Amino acid sequence: MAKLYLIRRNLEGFSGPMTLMELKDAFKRMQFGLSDEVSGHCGPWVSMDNMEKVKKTYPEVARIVYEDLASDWGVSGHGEPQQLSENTRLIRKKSARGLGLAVTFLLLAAAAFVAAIYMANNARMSSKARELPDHAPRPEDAQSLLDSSDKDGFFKYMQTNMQFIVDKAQSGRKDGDAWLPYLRSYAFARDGQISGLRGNVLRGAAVAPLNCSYKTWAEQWRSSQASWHEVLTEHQLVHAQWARVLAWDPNWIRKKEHKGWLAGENYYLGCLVMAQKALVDLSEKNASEVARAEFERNGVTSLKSRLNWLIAASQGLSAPESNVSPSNELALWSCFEDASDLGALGRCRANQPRQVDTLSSYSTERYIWNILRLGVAMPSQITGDVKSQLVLYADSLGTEDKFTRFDYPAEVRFLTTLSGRDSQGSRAADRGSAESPHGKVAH
Amino acid sequence: MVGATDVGRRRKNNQDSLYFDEAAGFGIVADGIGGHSGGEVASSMAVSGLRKAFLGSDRIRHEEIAPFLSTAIDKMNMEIIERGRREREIAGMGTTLNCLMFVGDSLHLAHVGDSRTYMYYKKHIFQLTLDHSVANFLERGWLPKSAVQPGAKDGALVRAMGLAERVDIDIYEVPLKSGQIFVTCSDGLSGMLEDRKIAQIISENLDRFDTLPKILIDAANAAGGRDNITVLLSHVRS
Repeated sequence: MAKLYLIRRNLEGFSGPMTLMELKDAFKRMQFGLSDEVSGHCGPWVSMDNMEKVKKTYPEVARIVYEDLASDWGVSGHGEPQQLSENTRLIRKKSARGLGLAVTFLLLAAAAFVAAIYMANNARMSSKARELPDHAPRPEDAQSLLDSSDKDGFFKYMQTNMQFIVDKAQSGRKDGDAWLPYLRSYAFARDGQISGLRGNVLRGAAVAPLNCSYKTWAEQWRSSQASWHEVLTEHQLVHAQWARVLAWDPNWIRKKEHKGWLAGENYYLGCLVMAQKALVDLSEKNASEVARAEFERNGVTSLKSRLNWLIAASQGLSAPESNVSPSNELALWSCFEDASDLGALGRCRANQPRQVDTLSSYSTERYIWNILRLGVAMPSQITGDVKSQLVLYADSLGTEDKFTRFDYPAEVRFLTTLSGRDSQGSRAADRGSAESPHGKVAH
Repeated sequence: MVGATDVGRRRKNNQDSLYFDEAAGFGIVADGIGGHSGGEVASSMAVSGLRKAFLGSDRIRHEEIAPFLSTAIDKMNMEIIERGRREREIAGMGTTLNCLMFVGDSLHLAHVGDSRTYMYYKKHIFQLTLDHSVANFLERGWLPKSAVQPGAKDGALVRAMGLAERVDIDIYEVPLKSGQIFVTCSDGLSGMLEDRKIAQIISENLDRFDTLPKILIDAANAAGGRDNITVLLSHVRS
């Protein structure tokens, strides 16, 4: 019975089980790539881009995949030197001589062709010919296109070399990391995903959903529509991706350092833009009159306002969406985040909607984080009652927002100083034991 | 679908939970974590919560399956955490989970923890799920060495329901072929029997499919039965 193999794609899907010949065929037809994994009967999963491990674990697969690559992509140095018979050598020699003649002829023809173009263009090479890199794709090439504000050229360049770049970026090597900003920029300028690219490569270390693509958001908004009122009018803390993203803090996003992204870009912003685009398309472009009315009844305007605010504020832009008469919880958070002094923050709080249930204590937490934000910027504001109020929260606040999981080290340090004791250490230790994912757990 | 669960030879109580509905193409295996009765409570909550969500949902379309699974698991995760906070004696409880949904030509598989789902096909066996263990995460570079607590075992769980307010789950889509058998089990089986042995037992007892879970459990007990053992088998027929 033929040996079978299974391919795991992007830690999401599978191809197979298939025989070695079927695997070869599937690879040629690009049904899987070097970023995927292979397993044999009772064998471990091995990433295709780990050539050494594939060679060791599944040498028959390595022969097929890497030899195929060598012939298609000009890669050399794979496989053992071939032992040729005398007859074969003779045939090779003859065909090599024939090949040499053919190559010489082609070179002469190409030279004549180039010379003809040169003359026709009055001794000027076409600018297109000069732009084409004569080497493997490099991040510097992508950067030079961006530097010259050639967005179209950048997209075209990325698209043309996508498979190479995806494989590089997923290789886990340093030269692969250099591609990440360009890959991410490309992904979120389109639909927030790249075929064959693992979600965690796109997301990096962001405290955010693994999949923030336009497609996922369209589905999220469509399926969650009936739950919006839980946040907007029933003041419930809904533990769903859409609700958590709407709770993101734009000031935190703006101040955070985003490694592996082009300047001004980050995963949070990309995710918000996808969310906004999907919501607008779903509720406006692709909706019938009846559906639009239903979206309105469910509060789509409030969601859009919040997204507009988040996108603008996380880039440091002003947005007209926040106001001091917040009509719902989302607007209240925008109001908090927009406040530039304690007076403005207090007005938001005074006008906040009636709160019951789970969202009440969470909005209070957000209020406290925003007081601390303003305190860090201007410590002299924090006096009297405000200071007493903050000190009361010192023990219960933790080191990060309980819902979004955004961390606030500067704010926590400020609070620690304010309360005059080192509570941060003990809180951090508590959190470590409560949430550490590493301590098992006998079972 | 056929399934069975057993306390094993060393444990006093069974912290595993199992549910399946062949007609609906739906099955769940959960392996509870935590002392006293915590593990039992967590695995039972996860299974009953998901079952309830599944039975209470309207017809789920293909593209809705992943959001459905992640939302339902997220919700149950919070419920487990909140109950642990309320009841001190079961604080810190958690559970692994493998949830199978057969829809059209695909199996949708949600996975968190170290319970496993294998695919058996023509005498071959493949482990579909990736154990969410420290060793696997270190090997893949998903976890910096500095983040691992000193003395943590290689098999220590990095992810499980009930451990943290955000639970990252893997959701796989597997194309179905006639003849496939999906073996979903707690680590009471996979920890006792090598993959090769599991494949051999299935291969030798295919004509007794209905009793296969019991045969596998007996083999795990014969090998030591150090933990609770749960087995769910799903056979794809033409």
